[in-house]
Amino acid sequence: MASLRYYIITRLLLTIPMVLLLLSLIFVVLRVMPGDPVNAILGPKAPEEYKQQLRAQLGLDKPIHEQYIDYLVKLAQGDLGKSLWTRRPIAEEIMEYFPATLELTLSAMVIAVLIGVFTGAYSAYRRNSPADHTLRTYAIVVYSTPIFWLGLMLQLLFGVYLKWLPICGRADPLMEPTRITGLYVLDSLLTLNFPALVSSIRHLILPSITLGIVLSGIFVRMTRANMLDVLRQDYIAAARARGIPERLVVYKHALKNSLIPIVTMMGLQFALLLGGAVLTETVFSWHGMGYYFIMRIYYRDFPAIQGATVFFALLVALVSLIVDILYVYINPRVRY
Amino acid sequence: MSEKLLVIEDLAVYYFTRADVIKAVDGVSIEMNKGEVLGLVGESGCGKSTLGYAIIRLIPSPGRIVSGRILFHGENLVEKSEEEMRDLRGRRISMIFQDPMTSLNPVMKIKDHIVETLMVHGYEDEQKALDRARELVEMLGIEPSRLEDYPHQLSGGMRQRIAIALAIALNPDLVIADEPTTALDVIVQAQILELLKDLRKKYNLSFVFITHDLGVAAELVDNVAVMYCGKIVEYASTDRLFAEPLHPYTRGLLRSVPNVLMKKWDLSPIPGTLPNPADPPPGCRFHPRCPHATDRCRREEPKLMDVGGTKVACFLYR
Repeated sequence: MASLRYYIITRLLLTIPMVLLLLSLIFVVLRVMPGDPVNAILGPKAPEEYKQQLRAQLGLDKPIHEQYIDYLVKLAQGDLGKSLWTRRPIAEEIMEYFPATLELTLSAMVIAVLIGVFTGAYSAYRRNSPADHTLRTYAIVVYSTPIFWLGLMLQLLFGVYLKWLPICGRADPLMEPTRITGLYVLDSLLTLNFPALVSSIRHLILPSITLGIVLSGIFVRMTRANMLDVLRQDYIAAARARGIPERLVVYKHALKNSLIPIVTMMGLQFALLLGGAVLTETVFSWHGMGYYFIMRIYYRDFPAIQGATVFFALLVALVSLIVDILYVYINPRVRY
Repeated sequence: MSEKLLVIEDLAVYYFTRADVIKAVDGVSIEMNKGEVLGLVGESGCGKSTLGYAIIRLIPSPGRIVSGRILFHGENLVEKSEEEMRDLRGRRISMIFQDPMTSLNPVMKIKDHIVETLMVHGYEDEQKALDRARELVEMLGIEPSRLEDYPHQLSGGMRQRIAIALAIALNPDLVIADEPTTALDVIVQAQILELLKDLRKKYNLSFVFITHDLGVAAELVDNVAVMYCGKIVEYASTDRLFAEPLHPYTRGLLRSVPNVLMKKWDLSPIPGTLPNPADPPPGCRFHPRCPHATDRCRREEPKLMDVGGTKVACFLYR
């Protein structure tokens, strides 16, 4: 276990240069990009002296390298700064928007993995059957579907024509649960607020299905490929030769071995998931990090964009670290 | 004379690929008594492993038994349903694989392999299964504490012992051993052979022992069937086969293996290569490589004939 601690510390230290690199990139790109936060706040027709005054107030009149060093010094102290637009601390805003994204991505991931792993395993088990061909077609079609298009189509079908489900927001107005964790489903459960629970689940269905389905394609393909590989192994033939029923051979002996690379995939897909969440949140007016990002890019809210980027980078690093640690538990051959 | 343990009659197993039909086993007949160890010997690709897999009905796709019968205690295994076969596997017929590095599931503990096998075949109490697992590994010279280990934590020899434990856990009537010592180093090989000999004496086990190594076969085996390109070319007791090999192929095999009794280093390999089993030569399949081949060998296929107690498929002895 001492070596595991050593491994975790090394990995955490390695994230520092990664975050720095990403941050420097976004810092420069934001400032060379056309558009100016002062213009965005005051409007293009504001008098020049006001603009200068605001620019000085926000520290935007300093040379870029000074701004950069100022930002890094604050960041090292754990301060993400204040938003240019709302004047609220960025950290506070992220904590407000992030739970929505977490709720969406978690449920989308569950949907993607459930669809992907089970159909992928079945597809491999019934290799070259009509079911296999259908599932493979499904995988390639959903993987190449643009996420916003799928979102719009589902909104049209289930929201507009059938009127079964709401198409935007996280809960009906005045139905939001008391905020504890910021995950509406969890909060409604914790406060035993059942109308809020129903409302938040109904709002969650379409966005998480949209994101989950698109992501499931790659899981179907991965699981199928891994399973086919594992089913060719000697220990599978050996299990059959011991008279282990086929159901156990496939879903216990083979699936457990194929899950190892799939867990890695879940870690790697996490970045893709966040990207997908940005699109999904925009289509469904889901007020999460994606929505936050897009809004703040419109307003050229530099500290907010930088803060959110740092946060996303740390999140991706953290998730991949957690996945690597989980690895020890599912693959007995791995030791750190 | 009681009924035979295993009788194979005119068995043919073909692999149907898109381009070809590969006749891996093509008209093979074998008989085995209870307690016998039968060696299947031949080069890679001669069909000996396919024959082994056919007995337990686990021929990998796209292979199929095309014709013939496999009588196990008088019951034809070829006609059995998949479920009936599954019930036989592990309980009455079991198998030991070539490479112990790959024949155990890497994510399952040793004890789970054994307990699962016992539970599938009628043990209802997990504790009893675990007791039996302990008894088994101890008998095979492994510390019972090793049951808690994963396969990668054991050495190759230990893993092969575990594979043997799995194969004999339910006292099967027949064990098919597919090159069980090939992947091991020489010292471990000798230990495993000793172990198999002991087990055989203690439990009167019957083995189909598949190997390409005549030396290994000589140690353990009562009768030898030499296979070449899907057919048996010579079938005799081990003593007779080594004392007086009849088929030119068998003689060639024996001459191509070094032997401590050799006066000088006089190895002579068999010229040529194995024919393509999808398109075997007409007549005797060995004739392109045979020093004694005649016109008849090129036209006509020799049948297995009894020559002084040895069955041999060759026109030299007509």
